[in-house]
Amino acid sequence: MKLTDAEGYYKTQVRYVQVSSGKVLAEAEGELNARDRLASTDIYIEFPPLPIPKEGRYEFQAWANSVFLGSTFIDAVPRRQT
Amino acid sequence: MVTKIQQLGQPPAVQLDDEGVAYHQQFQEILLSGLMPPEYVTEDWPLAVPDQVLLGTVRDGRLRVQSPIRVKLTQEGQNIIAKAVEFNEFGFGENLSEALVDLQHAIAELYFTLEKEHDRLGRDLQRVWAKLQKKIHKL
Repeated sequence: MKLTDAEGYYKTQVRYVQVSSGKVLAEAEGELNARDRLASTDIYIEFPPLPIPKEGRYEFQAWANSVFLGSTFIDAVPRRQT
Repeated sequence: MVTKIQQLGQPPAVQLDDEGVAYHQQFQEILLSGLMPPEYVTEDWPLAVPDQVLLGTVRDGRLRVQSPIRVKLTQEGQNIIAKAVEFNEFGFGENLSEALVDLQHAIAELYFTLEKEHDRLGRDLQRVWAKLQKKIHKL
């Protein structure tokens, strides 16, 4: 995750969410001290194996100080039978 | 940067090693549902929507949110309604993310519309424009 335009202390959170239910399946918490607003910070988070209970959309949501910043998603589809 | 990862619910009782190829070769035989806590597989969860969220971006590179926008969330049937109370703007979607994205577009559009028409606005819209300028800066 790359963050920019940040200055000061942030409590960061990445939530792994099943979109259809809104349920948070896993979350990573961290802290960020950004000194230069013009600099960008790369945050590397290694999640353990994450559950995909069924097909559908799963999101990684980025939060800073409880403010929603954005999200990206993966779509899980059933495996094709061979 | 300090990061703590928390797996919610029971973590799967599986120890992974670094032999990705071995896992790949056995992939056809692995019952993936066995890697998950049972409640993840069997339960159909009701839609969980928070009462409100604070929005920190409007998904438009030209606009920077200076202070978070308070968004109230309600559920109407299968749809989520996200309302930015200060601006009286709404976003709709089948889930939280869709509703927020719709609202973000609506707020950005409102910003540029009011900016363009700012010398012709009535009193209510002038108030909204003033609030928008406090919350959002154009880069």
